[in-house]
Amino acid sequence: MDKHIFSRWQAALCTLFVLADGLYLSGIGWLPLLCSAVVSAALLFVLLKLPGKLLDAVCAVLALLLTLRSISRIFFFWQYEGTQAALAVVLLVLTAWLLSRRGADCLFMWSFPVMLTAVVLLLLSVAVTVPDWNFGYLALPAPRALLSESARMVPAFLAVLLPAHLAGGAKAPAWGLLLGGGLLALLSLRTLLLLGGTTYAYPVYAAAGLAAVGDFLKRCEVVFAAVLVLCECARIAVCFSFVRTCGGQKRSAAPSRAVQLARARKAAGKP
Amino acid sequence: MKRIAVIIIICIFSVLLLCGCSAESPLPVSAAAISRTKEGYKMTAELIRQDSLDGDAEPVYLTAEGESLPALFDDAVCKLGGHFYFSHAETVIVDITLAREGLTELAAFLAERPDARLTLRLVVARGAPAEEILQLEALGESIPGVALYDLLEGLTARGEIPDLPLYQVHNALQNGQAVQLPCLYETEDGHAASKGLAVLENGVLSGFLPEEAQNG
Repeated sequence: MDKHIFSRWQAALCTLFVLADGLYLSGIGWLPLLCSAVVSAALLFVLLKLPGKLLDAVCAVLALLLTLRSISRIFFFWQYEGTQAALAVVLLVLTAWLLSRRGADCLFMWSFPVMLTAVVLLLLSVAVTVPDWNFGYLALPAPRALLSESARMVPAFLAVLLPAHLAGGAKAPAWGLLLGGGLLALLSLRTLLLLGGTTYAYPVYAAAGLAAVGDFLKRCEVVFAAVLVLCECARIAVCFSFVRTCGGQKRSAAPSRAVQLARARKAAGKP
Repeated sequence: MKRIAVIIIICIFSVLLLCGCSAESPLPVSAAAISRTKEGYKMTAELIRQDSLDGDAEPVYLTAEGESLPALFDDAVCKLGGHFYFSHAETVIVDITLAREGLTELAAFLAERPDARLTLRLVVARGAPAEEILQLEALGESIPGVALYDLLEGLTARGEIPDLPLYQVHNALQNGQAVQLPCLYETEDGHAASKGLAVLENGVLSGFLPEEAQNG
């Protein structure tokens, strides 16, 4: 990285990266989410000590797989919602590509205010449903179920390796992972306390639909989904940004266009 | 700067795509009445027309039939050329024939539909078929379905009927708990009013509160 990336920017992008899973949480309890976030944060330090080339290769594969996964899951979500899924996905990918074009450092910088906005909106969405929470649904999972569910979420959280590798450090991304994991656990808890154990296609989204302030502010799930779609956009942008950064490193030996132009003018004798 | 503007426009457009309301949804459903027939199910949906010359919204009614609940909704979608917008529906009146047979399937079906609000209210029609109760002239509202919802919300706020939106009914029925749904009947002057509660045990109508004989 040419420019300095503040640790809060790193943490913010990693939080958005983790929150992108928020729309699709299903059948995962809040406690396993918290446990797997803590374990993944610890594992992140180990993974970032892998040899450089191996880490690059792992991240390249991750970038490809995560992009495909993000596109497919958001497509099916929009299809479920009755939106023009193909067009929406094209727009999302285009937005992510435009974001990544500005460079990884700009992406990190952009993510900080976006993360603050996203966190405030998600917390508001949770807060307005508190009166409807039914604590009767709250039950601690059996140790075996807790372990298996936690293990199931660890690979998903470890995808944070990608932005952490872009940032070049593990400490701030680990904090971002913990914050994102904590928020996902809160969303999962809210879903449990509202909907109980009943299954829905997108339970977190369905629970967000119950948020209402009086008679005038209803159907807040659109705002909720928009926030998480923005997180998905940030995730795809990170993947694109990684690919661009790798490509940029290989091409760094070639002079920039401005330098080429200056050399050409000098050769032609122009000032 | 230009690039940022492009990104912002794309983001706004993407968010707008998530919204259900657009110029393509001229007939949103405000309420529906569902009953059991020999052939399967029958639904009367109240749609709101918003294109009248005087600017007022007015109700129109659509009847659909199907052997199963998915077929019932498919029929409604077909009859409106794919423009059946159930996401605005706030009340579903269940006929006593259907309540006697069981509401577990209906509650599960509605809760799993992406276009059904989890906050919509299920009520049981008494003394008259559900589609008649739905179409009764409303007091203080030009649209009967909207008036019924306001009536139920008001009674819920006053604590006169239990606050049981669809997701809670679905939850209770899935867990085998008893559910009490408000009843609607036709008053002597031809309006809809709420009186008493229908008690469902194991998803099936088992009686009414205050207790009295089932006379439908």
